This record gives sequence, C-alpha cells and structure tokens, in this order.
Amino acid sequence: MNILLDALSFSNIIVLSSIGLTLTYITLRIPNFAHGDLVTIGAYTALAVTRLLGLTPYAAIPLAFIASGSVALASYYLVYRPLDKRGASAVVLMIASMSTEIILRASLHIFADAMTLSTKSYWRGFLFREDAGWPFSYVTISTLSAVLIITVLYLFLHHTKYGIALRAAVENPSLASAIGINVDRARAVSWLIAGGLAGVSGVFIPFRTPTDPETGWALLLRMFAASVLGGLNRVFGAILGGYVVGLSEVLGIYLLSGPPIHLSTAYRPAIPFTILVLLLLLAPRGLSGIEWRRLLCRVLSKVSPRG
Amino acid sequence: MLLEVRELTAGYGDVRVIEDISFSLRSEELLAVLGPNGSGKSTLMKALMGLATIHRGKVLFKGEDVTGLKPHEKARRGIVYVPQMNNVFENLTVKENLLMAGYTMKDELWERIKEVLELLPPLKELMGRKAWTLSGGERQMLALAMALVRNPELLILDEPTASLAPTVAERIISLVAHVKESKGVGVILVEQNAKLALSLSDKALLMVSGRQVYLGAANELLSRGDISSLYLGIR
Repeated sequence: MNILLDALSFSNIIVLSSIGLTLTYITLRIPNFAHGDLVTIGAYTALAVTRLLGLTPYAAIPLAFIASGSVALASYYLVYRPLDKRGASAVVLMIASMSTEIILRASLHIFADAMTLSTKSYWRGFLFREDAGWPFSYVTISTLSAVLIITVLYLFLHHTKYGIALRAAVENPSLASAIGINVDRARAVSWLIAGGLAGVSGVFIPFRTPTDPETGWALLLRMFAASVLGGLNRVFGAILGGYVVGLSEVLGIYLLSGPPIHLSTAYRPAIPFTILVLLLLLAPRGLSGIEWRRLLCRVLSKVSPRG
Repeated sequence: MLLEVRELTAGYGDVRVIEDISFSLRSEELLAVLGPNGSGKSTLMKALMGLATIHRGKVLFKGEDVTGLKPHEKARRGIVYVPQMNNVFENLTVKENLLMAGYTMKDELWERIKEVLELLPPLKELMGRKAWTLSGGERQMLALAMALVRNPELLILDEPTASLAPTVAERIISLVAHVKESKGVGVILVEQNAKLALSLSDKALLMVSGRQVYLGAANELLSRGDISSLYLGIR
C-alpha cells in the first residue's frame, strides 16, 4: 500500500510540473530547460516558510505559486520575449533557455549557501516531516491539490472568456492578434501559470526525497517525458503522461528489484523512458493523440462474434 | 474616406515584397485585389493589418493614421482581417471560435452571433464540433462568420474561396457582397477567380511583382483585354 501511495505522490509532482512545461512549450515552441529550477524555487519557498515563519509547508503553496510564477514571468519578459521579437530561431531560444537554467540553478546554490550561513542551519538536502497535528498525509494533500488545480485550470481554460482567449492566443497568435486578443499578455499569463504550477509541485518534493538546488534539474527529464507522452500540444495530455511516468518509475522499480529479477535501483530512471519510447513507437503523437473511441470500437469488433 | 493607403512599401524584416501601393476605399465599396501568384497580394493584406513590416508609406483609417498600430489595436477600431490560411482556431469548437471572434465585444455578442448564424445557417448544427473536424467549405464559412460577428467597418478577405468547390465559392462571394450592401461595410477582397470577383466589385487593384499595374473601376478592367488576358487569364 505504501508503495502505491509513494507512486501517487511522485506522479502528482510530475503531473503538476509537466502541465506547466507543456504550456510554455505551446507558447514559444521551445522546451523550457529552466522549468525544473522553477520546481526547486517552490521547494525552497516552502523551506523558507517553515524555517523563517514557523508555519506548515502547506501554507507555502500560494507563496510558491507566486514565487516560481514571478521568476517564470521575469524570464519571459527579460529573455524570451525580446529574443522572439527579434525573430530568434528555435535553436537560439533553446540555448537561451539552457543559459537561463544555469543562471537560476547557480542562483539557487548561492541562495542555499547564503541562507545556511545566515540562519546557521543546513539549507541543502532538507526533508519535511509529516506534521503530527495535521489530519491529512502529504499524499492526500498533494492529490487533492493536483485534482483541485487541474479542475480550476480546466474550468478557466474551457469555460471563461479569457481562458479560451489564452488557448486561442497560444494556438494561432497572428489570428488571435487580428481579432483583438493581446497575445503578448496572454503569453505572459501562460508563463505565470506554468511557473506557478511548477512552484506548487516543488512544495511536495521534500516530503519524499532530500531536496537541494539540483533537485528540479534532476527531475526535468521526467517532466519532458510526461509532456511528450501526453502529446506536446495538449495541456491536459500532460496529466496522463505524468501519471504514466510517475507510476511506472516507482512501481516498476519495486517490481523489478524484487525476485526473480533483482534489478539494481540505479536503473530506476530508465523505466519511464523505456515505456516512453515503446509508447511513442505505437502512438507517435502521444497518448492524447490516440483516438480512443475508434481504438475501442476496433478492439470490440475483433473480440465480439460477428452477427 | 474609410481607408487611404499612400505609397505603401512593406515586406518581412529587411525584405521588401510590395512597393509604392496607393489606393482608397469608401464604405460600401468592394475593392478586388488581383494578380498572379507571388505578386504580393497577401503581403499587402498583412501590411494593412500590421502583420508585415512597413518600410515606408501611410495607412489612414477614417482619417486616423493607423500605420504603426498593432493588429489587436486595429481590430478594436473595426478593421477585420480573414487570412487565407489558419483563419480559424483549430482546437477550439465552432462556438468557442465565434465567442473569440467577438472577444472585444461585451453585452451584444450573443445577439451578434445569432444574427450571423441566420446568414450562415449550416453553422448552427456544428456549434459543438472542433474546427479541425470541419470540411474546407465549413471552415471558410466559420472564418467568414467570425469576421461578421465583429461588426466590421472594413473587411479584409484574403482568398476566402481558395480550394473550394465552385458552388460553395459563389455562395461565399455573394454573401460578402450582401454584407457589403446591407451593412455598409468596406471590403477588400483578394481572389484568384478574377471574373467572379470583378463581377461583384466596384474597384480593382491589379498587382504584378509587388507593384500595382492597374487601379480603377472593376468593369473597366474587364474591358481592358490587354491587361486582363495577360495577367488574369480572362479572354
């Protein structure tokens, strides 16, 4: 049972962060290599709230959204928007994204060292313990948060005028612009939301693994895998991709490390990527690109006897 | 005067595609922009909307200089542009597309959508469908409906009948002419089917290699056998 809960909590982290990664990919058509660091910023915001204010890490969820969202927004306005306006190619934008990642990760290292010195407590490799006075486990909170955020995001993107405009602006900027949508603002909002979701996912990481400035970077490949698996153009495909990646990694190594295979846990990260490659060979447009209804009809027609 | 274009030179980045284009348009006038492939017709439309780089010249809309305005600012002034390609939001439903078309409108939006659906009744049955599932004709109909929802003062249509069956194309063009008459809208129409476009237009602008070679009455262009047979294939 514990392994299932661990798999679920890991998947929640991947799902929340990969939704944001997909959103930024759709807006500028580049993978944001700095997205993992936005997750780490969320984790450090939670640490600051617990150490400096003495509050529960859950109280940091809104603050983590704001902190990581603001950094994402700043990177959009200071780096990507000026480059995009100058007609930079996808390669140039990608290199800018890698550079931003290195700057953010270095800044996190400097911040961790500075806080370690000033507070005389170690700001690396930190873990959050379950609060004895808190009625819910972090698995419950992270699951509820993921469900709540996904529901709110869905309602916002599909049932509000501004949300639909945001989808329109990221899909077809020139048409959106021609009908009066401020595409620049819509992109900025997308980056704010994407960064914010990464920040929220970061709050839950220290509950299950020691966290330091490298944590988000180490998780980035899993986020990419979830986005690609879900179908890079579909925000909600990342949910499906995230749960496949998260569950397969945790449950996969649990099953493979036991008898009779006894696979070393060092191979753990290879499991979701093996599944990613295999699934992409079967469905090149990702899981959300599969026409499930047609597939089901075909399977049923083969299974059921002909009348 | 609804629109005045003065010596417009435009292109993409440093590349100049059209040079020294000048014309004017009144409300209730339809200007057909004609010319062979690669003559710069679409670039002219994009330049009018602020989607191409303007190197020189002026665009005046109802006397106001709108040359440097951003596309969304022009849209809010009543200039509506329907591009040749990618003119609907593929991943949005027909209903969401129509809602987005009236993004800048407030209370009157649903009334406007109902009015437009009366003009294009086949769309009523397609409201819940994603735009990418529509046929070419249905898609062009949706693009035109989106333009009409916005209550345009100036309607810029870039080849609205491209790759449509002749009957559907005629229906779209006659609807454009009807809107021009009934709503008093100024229309700029880029069209490959020169004969069809000229039969409904008041004026014509013929472009060749980025320059204008004819500007005048549409029926006069039809009578100019030298130009119309050389550039438009009309004999």
